[in-house]
Amino acid sequence: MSGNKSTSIGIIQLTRIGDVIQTYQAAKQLKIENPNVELTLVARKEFAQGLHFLLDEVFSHMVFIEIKDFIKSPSSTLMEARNSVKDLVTDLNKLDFDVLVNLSFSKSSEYLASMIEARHKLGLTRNSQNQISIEDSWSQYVFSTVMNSESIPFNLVDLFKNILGAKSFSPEYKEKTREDKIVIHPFASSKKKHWGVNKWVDLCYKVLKENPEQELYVVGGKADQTQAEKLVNSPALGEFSKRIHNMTGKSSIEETFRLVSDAKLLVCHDSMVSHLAAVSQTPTIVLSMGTVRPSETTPYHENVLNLAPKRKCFPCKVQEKCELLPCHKDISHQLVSRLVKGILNQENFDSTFFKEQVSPFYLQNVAIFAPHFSEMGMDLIDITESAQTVQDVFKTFYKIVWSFYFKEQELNYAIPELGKESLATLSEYAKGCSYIYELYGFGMKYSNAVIEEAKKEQPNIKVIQDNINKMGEIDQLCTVTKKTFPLLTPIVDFFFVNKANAKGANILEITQSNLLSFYDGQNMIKVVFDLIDNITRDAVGREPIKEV
Amino acid sequence: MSIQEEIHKAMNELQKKNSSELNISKEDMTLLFLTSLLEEEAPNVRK
Repeated sequence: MSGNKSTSIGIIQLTRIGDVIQTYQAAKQLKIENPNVELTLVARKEFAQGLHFLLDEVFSHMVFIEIKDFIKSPSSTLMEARNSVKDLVTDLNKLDFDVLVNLSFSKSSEYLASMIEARHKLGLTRNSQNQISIEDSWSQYVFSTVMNSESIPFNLVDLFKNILGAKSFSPEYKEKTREDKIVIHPFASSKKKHWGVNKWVDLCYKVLKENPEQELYVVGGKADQTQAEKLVNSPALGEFSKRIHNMTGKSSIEETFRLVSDAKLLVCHDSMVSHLAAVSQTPTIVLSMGTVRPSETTPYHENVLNLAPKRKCFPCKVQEKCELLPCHKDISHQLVSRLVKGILNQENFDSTFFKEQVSPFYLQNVAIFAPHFSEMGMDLIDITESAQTVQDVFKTFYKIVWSFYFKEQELNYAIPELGKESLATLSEYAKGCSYIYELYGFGMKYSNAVIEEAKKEQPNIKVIQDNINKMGEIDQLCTVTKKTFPLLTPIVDFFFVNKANAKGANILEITQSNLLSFYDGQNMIKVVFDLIDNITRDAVGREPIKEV
Repeated sequence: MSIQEEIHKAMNELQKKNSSELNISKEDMTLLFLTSLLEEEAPNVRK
């Protein structure tokens, strides 16, 4: 992307405000690395209009859409609506995109990406049979794993950067003078992700009492006003009323950004305000609960602490019902207020701090993650140095294998220390790896049989069909295996999507692509097997992996 | 016929076409785009 001619890149991001901010962060890096690139953003008006002040920096053109642009009145006809869509596509095509990147995972974005012309397309589109089509490996990875797996080791900004081809970097921290303001955003898009007013009242009371020089600002949207009123008018906070400022529903996103930028600290749930704080590098404490996956959504900068429950059901899935919300109790307001004080006093959060300053009772069920940036982007480190779970270990494995697979980057991590129970569970996973390894081996065998037959002058269609059927059975057996070994799901799902998007114009070319997928999958599962073996070898005896 | 009824009717026809494995056109894509955008902007859709 160097030279005089500017490359025109269109980016589609039709999901929420937080995603638009994360897209901005990734696109900004791309623009820094390639100043000649001309970027266009297509986003939903509802989610992007308020972010003009940020987006203007990076995007040469912005197109904000909403359904009213196409169905202008109740008397509009379908023909008129279709013509309006065609007008939008015609206008976008005038920008002559070299590359079109769909960074959103929604149906409308898939169809829009299919209609816009571009020399290259990345991300989800639809083919002429109305099937999802994904050409690039990073988008295949995001599609196959991000919505379904808890073993995602990458931050969403890094995933966007990887799809766009921008380098990962450590955002340089710029020291600035900050005002004695603490901003809280005690709201979230669902009940599961939200602590509830009472806990926030407890936290505000303690923070205001322990830090008498600080003013407290509550921010949020119009929909949060009732809850905000409950919070600020709580009798428990009566004595501090002059130091509490309720900005909920009264400030634009830009005004909220300015407020957060000048503040000493933001305390919030996983929300768009946390991503605004990442842009201004405001020290932030995020309270993750419910469906939130910290490794994906932690605000992308260095001054963040992300508190997350240590509980088997965390993070849960959106569709799972939970009335008791036990993970909300894992994070105590006493711990959060101690961390607030620590950040304001610039204390060092090392093992001595947690040993001497925090009761072990408050640390029992919570992990405190802090970001660490490397050449592969953001890693989250549990600074309480609590024992790792098998899930944590798999996250590290996946960081290693995906980084090598996609970017040929070799990462080194220390061998984790695990308890007996975790070692036994991890060791069981070696069996799962063996099964998948064997299945992919058969996949290679059947692919080779199809290729050999297809190359003959007069191929036997029955032989080809039989082997293709056998490959279908492999997918079914992989699905069964991943149910028993759920932490292997990312590999199984990725190679399923990878095979489904195999390149090729005929059976021979498609099967050659499939052969490559099985080969890569087998290598990857072998690496995971070896990593497990390294950790558990001395503790548990085991059969070597089987060759097919 | 309201636009919602028109969209519903057009979607039914498109589904029939799609199930008989006929290729969908750019014209069909506009309908699919409109329908999905309508769904995503519906007030009860989880945000």
